[in-house]
Amino acid sequence: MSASNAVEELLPKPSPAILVDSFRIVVTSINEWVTVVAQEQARRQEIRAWEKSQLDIIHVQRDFLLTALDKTFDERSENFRRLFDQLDAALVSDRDDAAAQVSDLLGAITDLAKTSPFKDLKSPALVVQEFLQSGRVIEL
Amino acid sequence: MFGHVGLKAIPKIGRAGGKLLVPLGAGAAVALGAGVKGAADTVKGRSIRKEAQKRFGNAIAECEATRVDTERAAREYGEFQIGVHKETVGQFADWLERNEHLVKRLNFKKVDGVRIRVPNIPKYVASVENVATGMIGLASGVGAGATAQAGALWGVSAFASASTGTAISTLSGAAAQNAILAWFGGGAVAAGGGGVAAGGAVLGLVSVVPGLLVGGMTIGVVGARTKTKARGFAATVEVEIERIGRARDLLGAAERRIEELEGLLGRMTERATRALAVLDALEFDPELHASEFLRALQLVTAVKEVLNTPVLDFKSGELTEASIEILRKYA
Repeated sequence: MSASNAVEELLPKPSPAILVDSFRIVVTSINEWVTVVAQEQARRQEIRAWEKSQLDIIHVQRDFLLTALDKTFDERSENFRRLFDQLDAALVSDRDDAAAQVSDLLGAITDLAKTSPFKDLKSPALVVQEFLQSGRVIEL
Repeated sequence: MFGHVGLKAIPKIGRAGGKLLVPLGAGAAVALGAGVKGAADTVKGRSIRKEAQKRFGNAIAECEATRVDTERAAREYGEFQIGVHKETVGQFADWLERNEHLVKRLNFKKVDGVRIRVPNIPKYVASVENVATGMIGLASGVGAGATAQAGALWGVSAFASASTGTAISTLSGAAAQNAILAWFGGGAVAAGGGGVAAGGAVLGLVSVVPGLLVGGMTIGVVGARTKTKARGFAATVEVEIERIGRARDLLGAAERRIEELEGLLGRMTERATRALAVLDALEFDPELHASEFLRALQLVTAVKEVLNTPVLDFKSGELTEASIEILRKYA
């Protein structure tokens, strides 16, 4: 008798008990698979919702920062241009107080330069106002 | 061995009749479908993960490029500052030293509505020399480029750190990238479990069909979990990519500030240089040339003020997460 035949002899013959056991295993496996697949789908939906909310928050922040910085730099650029025009006029002026005017204008220019363009970003009121004006809603 | 035995057992199960074959056949079809879907989910999961890693790598590379650009801009501005300091402040200090006794006569004299306050000339000259010496000393230690950058920025990397919570400099390089990916929960997929006690049941029944069923379901379960983990990983990476994008924007803002100061310093230097040239061309007489002296003093002082203005004021804590977190708080 070959080895495989010997093992084959040891195999249980199909019986009602095997049928019931097989059926039970199949049903249990299918149930578990269905349950896990449903749970995983729900988790993936949660992940998608989380991702969307996080991206929305970051987009609002980026939009706000870029808009605020753009406005700030444009406004500062215009102010510098105006101050330098006035400075150039004062530098060639014959007025008695020309030097005082130059002094004031140089003070204004250097003060503006020293004022950080980023300082307004720290203002909670400004941030909240910008956010509210954006009309966007973030679901957290 | 067991596979071989299982195959041998198929005819025996067949002899059990339709009562056994019909439910097992139906179950096998379902298991096969679950197995195929599980395998497809696993492949999809791997693809999602791979794609996310690629996008993250690209985002890091772009941010790194922006950081390099910003540092270059800072270095160039620093070099410009050093040149301006030498050509205007240094030149004015030389002129003061040469004309010290004449200039002193102008102290507290009112000219064109302004009372002149002549600086302490030895101190003025010494401070200019100190700046130059300091630059040379620092340059010998860390290099001229780094000195120029330090003078301008006081560290771009620190700025990036404030905006992201992670120093941009640490976000470069393969090792750092791997570490970040590891932090995200990346790396090898934990295939684990499936929750189905497959092996024991298969051997217990000594039947290949239930084994196939259980195996198919296991693959289905593992595939579903692998896909979820990959989606979670991809979502985290996506959010981090956006954060990196925000850091890039802030680096761009720093670069814009550098441009602003560079333009301002250029305009101020232009006027100061003209005033210095006028002053230098004179056979200086304090009684006749007080206006010219005052003009040069005012403009060189303004140049010094701009030179001393940092690109970013870290003391004020500007552009930190605090301003950004406010959005979250009020949302």
